Amino acid sequence: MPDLHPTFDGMVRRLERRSPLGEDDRRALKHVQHSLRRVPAGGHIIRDGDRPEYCSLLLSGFAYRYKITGEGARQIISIHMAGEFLDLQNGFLQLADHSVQTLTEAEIALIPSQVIEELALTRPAIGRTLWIDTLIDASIFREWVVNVGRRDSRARVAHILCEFSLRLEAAGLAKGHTYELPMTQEQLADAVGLTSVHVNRVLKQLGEQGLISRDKRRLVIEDWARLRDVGDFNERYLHHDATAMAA
Amino acid sequence: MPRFFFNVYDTIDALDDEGFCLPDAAAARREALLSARALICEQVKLGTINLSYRIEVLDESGNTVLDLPYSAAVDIVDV
Repeated sequence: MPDLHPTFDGMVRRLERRSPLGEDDRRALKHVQHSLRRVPAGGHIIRDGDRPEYCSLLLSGFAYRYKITGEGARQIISIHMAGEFLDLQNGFLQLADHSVQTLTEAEIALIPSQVIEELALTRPAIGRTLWIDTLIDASIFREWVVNVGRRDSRARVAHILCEFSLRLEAAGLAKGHTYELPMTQEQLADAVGLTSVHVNRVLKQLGEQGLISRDKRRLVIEDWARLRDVGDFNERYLHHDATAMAA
Repeated sequence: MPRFFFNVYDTIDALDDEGFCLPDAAAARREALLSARALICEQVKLGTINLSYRIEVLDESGNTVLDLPYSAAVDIVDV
């Protein structure tokens, strides 16, 4: 059995917050069959159209899911941090419908799709918690559709900065609304559907208005209440407090 | 690929301290043009267009590659 990566504990804790697990379930998850892979920044974990054989769990670093339009424009559709599954749907779907790429150097655990399926189907508590995990992914996707579809540029950027703050904090990677932004301006632009130049303009404006301050990638949210307001941000969709009722 | 920096001068001076890599100056020009148009769109939504704003593109040594006033980014057809 390979050495247990500490993030497996984090993953189990995260899932357990969603829905209760028994001791056997916990052990089954922590010791799930997997292989480790180190991926350089910008490396692909899976590409649109691939036939996936694995589901990947992000152990360290950051990754994102994206799609490319016919004209070659990239839309980043979600950002992921340590302890999160990157493509849980690939345990059950035959064909990858989008690509997953790393933002930074990352370590991932590749879990064979059939192992995930077996875990989910033979252990109802695990099945339930994985289901809830994908439902929350979907909730975040819904919020991103609203963000790029209906908010103005300032609100889009403010919203995503608020989301990062709470998710990084929940993952133990940030504190007090201060964090290292894991993305370039260009990547941020592709996540909010603006040009990189436009994103820089908005970040500078948020800075001038005293809502944030930045030193290279380090970002401090100086006025959480106002940034939240500007970004039309309500953390409900993250379901961080959601402890699902016991089945 | 060379890195280009895009400073936006409108109601604020938004200096670009990160920049990004593009194949050449022509690609940087296209990027500036698209961005100027996107920024003009934002203005249109608010009801006023100020075409005296501009985007300045610098190369890695700080030399100006392009100075693009918004007025050069769109054609105005006044009927």
